[in-house]
Parts: sequence; structure tokens; C-alpha cells
Amino acid sequence: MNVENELRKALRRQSPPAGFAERVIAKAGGQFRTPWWKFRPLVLANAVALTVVLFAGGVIYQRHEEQRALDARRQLVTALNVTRVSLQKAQERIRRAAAKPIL
Amino acid sequence: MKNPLLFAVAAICSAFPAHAQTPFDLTSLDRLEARAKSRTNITLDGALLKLAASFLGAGDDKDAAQIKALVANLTGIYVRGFEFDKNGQYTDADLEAVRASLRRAPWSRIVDVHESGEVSEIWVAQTPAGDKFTGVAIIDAEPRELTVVYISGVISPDDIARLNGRFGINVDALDRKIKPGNNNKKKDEEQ
Repeated sequence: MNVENELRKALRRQSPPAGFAERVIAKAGGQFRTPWWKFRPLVLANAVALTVVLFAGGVIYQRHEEQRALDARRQLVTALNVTRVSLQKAQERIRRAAAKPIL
Repeated sequence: MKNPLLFAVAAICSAFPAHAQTPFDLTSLDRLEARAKSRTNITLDGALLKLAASFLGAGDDKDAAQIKALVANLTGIYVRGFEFDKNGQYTDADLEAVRASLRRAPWSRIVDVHESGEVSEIWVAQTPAGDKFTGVAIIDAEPRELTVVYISGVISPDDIARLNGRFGINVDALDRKIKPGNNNKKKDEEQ
């Protein structure tokens, strides 16, 4: 019975001392927190990757726009050529029609 | 774009840009493509037209400057051209949809020549004051060739004369002139 009483006494629920939880959290937090300098290579790598992606995107977009402009310019010159030829043909037909003798 | 209705409207509008701009349905000519030996299909409107004009040439180039000035007042240039292997690949009926639209106001025909199976028609839409055109349409038909040109925007009779080459704009020469500093010079010239 004596052993049983001692065991019960030893295992009884007991409140922790004041501030125990805060101290544990503070200690654990301090132990597991990664120092800022360990993040730096990752941050730098991300920044470099982002810069490369933005630069490459800019170059690709610029080339695409330049090609689009050249295609449009080619179309414009072709359209003006076609218009000019059509107008010249009309002029020539008018001239030929006017030159025909009226019976 | 979360609203599916807005997305559908935007998709439909972007799918038919030429339709929205032209006073007549140029797609009625599309069925000739199957019969044509070669075809030219150009639709230049809005920002694309301005972009093309900006790449015409350097600032001190006289021809480029003239074309740029002319294009500055235009809102669109549309060309449909077809070449056929043999006669009779198209009929007047194929042009009827275009002509029907041109017969309506404010269009009027200023040139109509039928000569040896060849046809030239020039139609213009005039401003209310009558001093300028707001559109020019050209139909050039030969037994084995058909061309329809529509120029939209403010254009003067002098501009049309310039386009005709009488005042020295040489668009062929202009085509050979490439903007300085352009990396695609050679490639562009070869094409």
C-alpha cells in the first residue's frame, strides 16, 4: 500500500511553474530558427532567375513585335503596289476607250 | 476574364476585325480562293496599319514621308486579289455582293470602263462637304485576274493621284529601302 501511495503521489497531475510554456517556446524557436544568411543564396537565385526570365521575355517580345511590324510593312507595300497597278490599268483602259473611234 | 459572355463577345469581335471595318463583305470573295492559281489577301487596319507605316523608312526618306503622310489619315487597307489558270473561273455574280454594297450611299462610281473583257471600276465615298473621300474601292477585273481594293479613311483626290505614281512615289523603290539599323534588312530584302 505504501508503494501504491507513493506511486500515486508521484504520478498525480501537477501544474507547471508559471511561464514554463513561454520559456519552452522561446527556447525551441531560437533553436530552430534559420539564420537570415542561410536564405540569401536562394533569394539571390530567385532574383537572378526572375531577371533572366524578364529579360528573355522582353527580348522575345521585342523580336516578335519587330517581325510583326516587318510583315505589316511588307503587306502595306504590296497593297500600295496592287492599288497603283489597278489605278494605272484603269487609266490605261480609259485612255484606250477614249481613243476608239466613235462610229 | 471570368465572365464567359464577355469572353465570347471579345472572341467574336477579334475573329472578324475586317468585317467590322469594311462597309461590304469582302469574305464573299473568299470562295474564289479554291479556284485561284494564286491569291493576295491583305487586311491592314488600325494599329497594324500605323505600325507598318512606321517601318516604311527613315525620316529623311521623301517617298517614305509621302506614304506615311498618306497612310496617317487611313483607317484600313484591304486587298483581295486572285489569278486564275483559265478564263471563266469567276463571274459577275461573284462580285455582286461587293457591288450591291457599293451601290448604296455614300458610294458613287467615278470610273466604269468595260473594254475587251476587262473592267475597271473606281468607287468613292465622299465627305458631306464633297472635298475629300472617306473611302475608295477599286475593282479590277480581267479574264484571268480579279483584284478588289478597299481603302478606308480620309483620302484626297491628290492622294489617289500620288498612289497612281504620277507624283513620283515609287513604291517599288520604297520596298527596297529598309530602315537603318534594322537587323532583318537582308532577310526582308530577300523576301
